[in-house]
Amino acid sequence: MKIFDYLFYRLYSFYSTKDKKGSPLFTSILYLSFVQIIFIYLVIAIYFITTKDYFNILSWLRENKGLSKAALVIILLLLEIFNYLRYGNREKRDKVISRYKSNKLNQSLRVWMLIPFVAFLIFLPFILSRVIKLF
Amino acid sequence: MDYLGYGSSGIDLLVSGAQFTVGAIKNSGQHKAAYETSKFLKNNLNIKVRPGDLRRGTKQFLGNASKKVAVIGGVLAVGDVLIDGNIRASHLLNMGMVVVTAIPVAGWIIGGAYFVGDLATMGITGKSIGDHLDSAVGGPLVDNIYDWD
Repeated sequence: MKIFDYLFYRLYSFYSTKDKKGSPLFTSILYLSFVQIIFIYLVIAIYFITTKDYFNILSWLRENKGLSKAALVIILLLLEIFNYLRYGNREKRDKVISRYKSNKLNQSLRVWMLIPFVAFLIFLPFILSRVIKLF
Repeated sequence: MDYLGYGSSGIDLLVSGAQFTVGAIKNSGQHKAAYETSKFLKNNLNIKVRPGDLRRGTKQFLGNASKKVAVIGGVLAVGDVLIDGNIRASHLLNMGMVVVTAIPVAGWIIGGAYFVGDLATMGITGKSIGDHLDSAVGGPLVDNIYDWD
């Protein structure tokens, strides 16, 4: 959970100064949930690549494409609710902020780096599958 | 038919249209509309909301709704590629449209025009713009993204 706490801190700090019209809490939780859904996908994809059981699930997903995509949206919304419960409380949020306020990574990591990072996570299973194929 | 995708695009169009309309109204007009709405809510439903809060709240709600729809659109576009297991021209078009509609004003207009055009094409030819593009390209750009055998 620490990585998500840190991500929330960075997103929240960023949108507190940039997102004057919207709500920094809402925006940071929305993007955090998106990153979390990519992490879930990553874990599942790596599991199926290493066990080579991916195609059974994939054929089921293809047969029930509408249902699969609806499930994806529901998972995203559930993650958002979970994150609201975790970071919506001001006390909890302040605790997370004070914990990461003077983190060393704050200087070297920029929020825009999250975009190539997420893209890398999406392609990581395919890179991994190629590496497995080589050996 | 991709009801979920069309639903998401439709909501995006509505939210973008509302944002565009609110943005196009002058500040004095916004104040007046907020005042009238506040008066209506107080007189008819006994709900007391200050006009300033109503105006700020509406803008904030529209901004948040727009971001949420964009993220859902992004998740659906990525999910489409992962479930299909190939990359087609229509996938790239969908992803491109998600990015374009996130751009205020110009992006909303392009996204709205695309959505209406897509529905019209669907009604006339029975195929979406993406389907036509896929037919024109011939086949998937990347055949099987899971090909590791």
